[in-house]
Amino acid sequence: MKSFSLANSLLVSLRIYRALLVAYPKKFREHYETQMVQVFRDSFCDAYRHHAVFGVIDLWLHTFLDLVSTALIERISERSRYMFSPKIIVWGGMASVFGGLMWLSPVFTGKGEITLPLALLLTLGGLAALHARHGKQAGTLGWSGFILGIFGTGLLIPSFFMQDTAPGLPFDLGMPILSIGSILIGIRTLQTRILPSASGMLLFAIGVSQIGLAISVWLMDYYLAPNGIDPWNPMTIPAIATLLLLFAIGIFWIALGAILAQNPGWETSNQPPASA
Amino acid sequence: MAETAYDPKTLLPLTPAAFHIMLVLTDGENHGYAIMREVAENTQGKMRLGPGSLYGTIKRMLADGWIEEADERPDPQLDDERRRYYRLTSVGRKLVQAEAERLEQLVSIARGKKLLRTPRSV
Repeated sequence: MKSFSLANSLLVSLRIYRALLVAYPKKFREHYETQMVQVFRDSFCDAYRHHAVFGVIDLWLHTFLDLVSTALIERISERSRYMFSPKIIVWGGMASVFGGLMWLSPVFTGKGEITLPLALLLTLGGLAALHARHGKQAGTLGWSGFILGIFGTGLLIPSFFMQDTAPGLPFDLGMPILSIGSILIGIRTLQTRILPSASGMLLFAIGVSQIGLAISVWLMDYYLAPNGIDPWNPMTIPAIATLLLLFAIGIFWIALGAILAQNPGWETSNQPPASA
Repeated sequence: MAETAYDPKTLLPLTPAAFHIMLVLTDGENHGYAIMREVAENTQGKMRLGPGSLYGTIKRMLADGWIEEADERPDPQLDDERRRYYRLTSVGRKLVQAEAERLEQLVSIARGKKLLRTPRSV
């Protein structure tokens, strides 16, 4: 009678437990479902043998709490893995390449009212992809750089549409903020070694070039124009510097985007393991 | 995953579950249920790993290269052939050793503050 009751309750418990395992992500179930059911079955037999019904009740309580908490953890970790999937990083790399081309276009067309805001948006996509690539290793430096990048871009984009009605303060503030953000992400990229070191150097070069661009535009707005000199006169040093720096930033972003698009994965021999 | 040349101390402290599982595996390869039972025995029942926390931790330790699945299966007549056996990698062994040393240091600090009795000399 006792063995019949054990077999019966074991069978029912196993069915219920197996059904409850749907709480875990599919991938996790594919790998561990059989093992988990087996461990539960062994635990059940042990609990029944030593403490009969009370042992089974205690096992169920403990197993249920364990299932709820760990299923939640696995779901969250699955979701964060999806958010930072290699596909998103490839798209970020492509956005950086197109962003770089947009940075180059004013050099050849002489007009940047539309292309430069677009360039800033696309390269923000690149910064986001880099941040995603850092993942858990972003640290304070990576996070600060990313937040400054968003804030700087947020200030810069409207500045292109209010140029005639307001002074260039959003530009004057936005460009240095974005530059510092780029430099910080560059330093973090070099520290973590998740990408070839050239990518960190490129981000550093982009940041420095953007600071140079901010200075040259500032000289054009606050020195040349008030003195009656055409700020875009190609014979003036600030105008030449602005064009050269736009060109450099464009090339740097294209190169960085190409590196990012080619290195979307997580598995690199230099990457330190995350803690279990 | 390739084993890394990182200083294990940078990965400390380990989570209690990871440390206890690795402690069990220092004696040799073992399967999930045996690991679970030995952890409960080693902690006098204070740490009870459920199947979810056991395999969640195992999953992360496998991904980080601290443990690996043993290729050899035991004789099917002696054990269930569906069981998977796990063992420490050399990275895992260094890590569990570093964690044990860290805990030893903490104990010696606690002892210095007279929070613990000094061990009797044999």
